[in-house]
Amino acid sequence: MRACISPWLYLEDSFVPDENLLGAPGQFLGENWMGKINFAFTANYLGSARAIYDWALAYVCDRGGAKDLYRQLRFGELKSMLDASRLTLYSAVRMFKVDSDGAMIAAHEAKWMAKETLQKIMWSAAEVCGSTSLFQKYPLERFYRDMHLHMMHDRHDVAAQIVGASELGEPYDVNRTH
Amino acid sequence: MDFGFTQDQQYLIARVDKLVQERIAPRAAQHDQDYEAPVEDFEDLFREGWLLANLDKKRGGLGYGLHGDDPLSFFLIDEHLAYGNPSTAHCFQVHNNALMMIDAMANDEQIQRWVEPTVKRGALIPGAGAEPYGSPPTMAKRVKDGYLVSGTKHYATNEVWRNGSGSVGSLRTHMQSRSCS
Repeated sequence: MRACISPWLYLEDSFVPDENLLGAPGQFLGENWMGKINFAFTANYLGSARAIYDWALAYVCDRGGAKDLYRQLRFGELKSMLDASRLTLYSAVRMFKVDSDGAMIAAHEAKWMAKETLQKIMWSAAEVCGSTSLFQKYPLERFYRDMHLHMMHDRHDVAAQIVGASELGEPYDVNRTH
Repeated sequence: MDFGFTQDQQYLIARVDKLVQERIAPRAAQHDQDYEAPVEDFEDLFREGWLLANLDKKRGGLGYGLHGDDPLSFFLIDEHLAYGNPSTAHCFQVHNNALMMIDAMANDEQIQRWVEPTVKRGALIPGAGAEPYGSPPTMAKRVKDGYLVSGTKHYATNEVWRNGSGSVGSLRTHMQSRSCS
């Protein structure tokens, strides 16, 4: 994500005055703010997935590949996954006011599903379009670079583990997914 | 597929899509090629009022985000921005998530001090994380009148926008001066 300039910060006894403290000690984790941040990552995955999907669909139609049964199958799979992932995210967000604990679990379902969907769309889009679609003159190349990086969290699968822990009645920590 | 959006949300989506199609998506490849922050995108987002998406309406915001009156609209903006440029969407969501935390946890004086630059000039608020999980944490030591903080934070998104006054305009100046040096 070359346009998203994000430097490293090296802090060595950096003084933070009391008037710059945000909230009370422990409030950030206690109110699950790390978990809440995940919702927006999911939205980014799904917007990018739609962009890749729409581009591939137009490309295949333009190249005369719409009547091919293999491509019809792939686009059917991708469309189903994309819609289901979007619905899961929207449902999780809508739940938040009435059942915030349930919404946090649903948000982790949504994040895991969004990543699976995005990976599938990235792979399948290149397959149905052909590898020339990844040449630099097409936007697919930039989306592939950006999304490979943006999905690369070593704790990503913990999202699914949290959902599983909830299902099994075991303790979990929604702040551990990012 | 009917996603059950309200009329207001459908109108919002149409506005975001128009901006993405006409301005954000056409600029994305050049920003990527030049390794440059999408300054013009944030001038547009500032003009649309979406840099205050997750601020409470009582404080002049749009009341979106998880704790707002319309939680879904923030995520719809983010999703539809990503359709045109995921980098722009990421800067946008980091800023608005920080704004949501400030709105929920800050006192009135802090909100005035930290949010006013966004209201007046479109300043973006940074956020940062650290990886991998379990690496040595950033530590804070209590001293007189504050804390001493030590550690390494990665991905300080929007930090570059804080140069000068922290506004969209100052970043433009910063980027121009950097390219001339």
